Amino acid sequence: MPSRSQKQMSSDFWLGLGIAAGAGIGIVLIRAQVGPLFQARSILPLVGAGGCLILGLCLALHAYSGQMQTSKSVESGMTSMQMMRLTGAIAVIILHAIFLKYLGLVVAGISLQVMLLTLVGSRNIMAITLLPLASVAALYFGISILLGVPLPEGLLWQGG
Amino acid sequence: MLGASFFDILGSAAANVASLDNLTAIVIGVLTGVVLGAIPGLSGTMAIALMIPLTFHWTPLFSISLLMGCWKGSVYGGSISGILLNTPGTPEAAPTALDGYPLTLQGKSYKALQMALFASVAGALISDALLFAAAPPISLLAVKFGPAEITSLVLFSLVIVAGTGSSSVLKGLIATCLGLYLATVGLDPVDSQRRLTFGILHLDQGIDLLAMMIGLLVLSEVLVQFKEVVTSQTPMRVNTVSLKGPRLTFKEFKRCAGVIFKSSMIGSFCGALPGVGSITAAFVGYDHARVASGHPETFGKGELKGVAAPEAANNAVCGTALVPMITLGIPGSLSVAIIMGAFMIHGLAPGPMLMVEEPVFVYSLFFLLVISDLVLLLLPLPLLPLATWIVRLPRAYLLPAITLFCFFGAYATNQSLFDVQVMVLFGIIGFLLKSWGISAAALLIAFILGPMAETNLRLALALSDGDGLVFLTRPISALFLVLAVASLVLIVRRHRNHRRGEKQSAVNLTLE
Repeated sequence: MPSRSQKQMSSDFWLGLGIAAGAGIGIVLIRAQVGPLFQARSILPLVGAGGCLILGLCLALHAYSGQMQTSKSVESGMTSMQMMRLTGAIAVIILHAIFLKYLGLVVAGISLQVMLLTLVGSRNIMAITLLPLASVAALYFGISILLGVPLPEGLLWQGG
Repeated sequence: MLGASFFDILGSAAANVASLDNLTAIVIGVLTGVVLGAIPGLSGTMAIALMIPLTFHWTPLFSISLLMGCWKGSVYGGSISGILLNTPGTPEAAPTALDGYPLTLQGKSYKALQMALFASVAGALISDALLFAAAPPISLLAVKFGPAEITSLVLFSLVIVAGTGSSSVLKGLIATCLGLYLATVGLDPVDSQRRLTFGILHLDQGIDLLAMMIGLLVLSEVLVQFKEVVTSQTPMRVNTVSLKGPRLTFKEFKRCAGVIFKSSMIGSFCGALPGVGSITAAFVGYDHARVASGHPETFGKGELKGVAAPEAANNAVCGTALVPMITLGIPGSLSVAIIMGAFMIHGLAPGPMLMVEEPVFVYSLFFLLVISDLVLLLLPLPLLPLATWIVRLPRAYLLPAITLFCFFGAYATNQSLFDVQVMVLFGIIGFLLKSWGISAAALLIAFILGPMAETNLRLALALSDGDGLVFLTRPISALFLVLAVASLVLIVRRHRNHRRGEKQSAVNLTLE
């Protein structure tokens, strides 16, 4: 079974390679979206992407040579159910960012909170019902009505 | 003549700050900061980032009053849960808990909270005085900097920032480079050509700073906390806290006065250095007080000086941390980067010219910092029961509401749903970066400094006909470059020693 430090080393190795690969794509994008690499307006994007490429490779090499064995571990130690709940929460947040346009902040806000409270492990029906209603009401009356800051209304409710 | 105009400016600044609107903003800011800072897992930076969207529709001074109050309040607020629950609300309150919680166990929680408050206010006032004294002369000097000097200064700051926060220097530098790359999305600042926008019109003005900030700092932290809660054995645990015991006596405060002053100076010094910040200041302040006390064995067992020293030090960071931002336009820490973001959102450009173009605003800022300290002195003690009620709430109940607020915050400024999607994207990126031990703060600060670095770099090269040696031939620029290289070497050595120490302690542990 691999030790904690070996896992970290392997994680940093793949992380470094991943960053270097991403930076390589970034350099290709500079060529496509900015223009020739060695001109004034490509300097900073090139410094950023080139820096990531070189440093990513250095990180991978560093991890490979085993010099980072004692850095803090990033292993999660989560069970598959816990991992599913976390992934579920991220998926719920992404879906709400997409459907906010149609649902509006009031409806989306209530459903977002109900889902997150369920995923976080709350089994208290009162909390699952009242907390979302209270926070959306506070946001709506306190910020939208009182301070005049607009909230997304939702195309569904506008007949659109 | 010069003296008269200086006093005119001071008079106008005092009149600006003394308005009822600004005082209300400071009170609301301090109150919100104390309450949010007291909640474990909600840091001051998160509190400020969440408040910025609210301020968009208000005047710059009112908004900055609110944010400054919130910042000051949150730094103190962190100590409340540290003292009562042994769970610091903010990372800089960690050393406060070392002696604060034992005092709670001895039934002296109220005394510890009073000491933390008085030390915080004393530290903050000393730091504000230093800011007031140091900022004008540094600004006068900085006005003379040309593009080459500014480019080298930004590089120096980026190196320092890259060296802190990440689990290795390489990762810090990667975060910095990524921040610089992302800063180039949008219209070119010189010739207004589109760069890396993929034809998306929303990206013409670049990635929205506020959406990115809320995603990287707040939503990512919500996800980190979510992960902690789902892996916790008692996610819905209700904390039990009590406010009781004797009050702080004048004699006890007097006994700690020397420690408070020294720690305030340590904190002020740490604040002025880019990348050092309040966490380091608090630990250095605590350690210095422990060593200098002559009775280090009393520390960790409920010593009042152990509460006073870190609180004075971490609050003393606030004032002097603004020195590099106001005078040079360089944010030295994450909190200051967020405040600088708020300045930019309100159309103010921090830097040497701010002092020249908006002197009344800058002096108003100095005054409102002092008023925030005084409000902090008066407000929290009567409101401690409210803060203790909030710290009792399980974290799990707060996370969904904070997520909702992130959605609102990203939307409110431009009323753009695209910004909400950007916020969610950066929330996930921030969560991954934290999991990999990469500092989101370095990325954010590089993103903020990117346009400044690029404009000045290209200007310096244009003025010197493309001669890159201009950065070495100008003495101040060369000095900053030497400092950047020296800092990088020192940071690498420090990380190496730290790793060696960890390795040694792991070996010792195995042998034991």
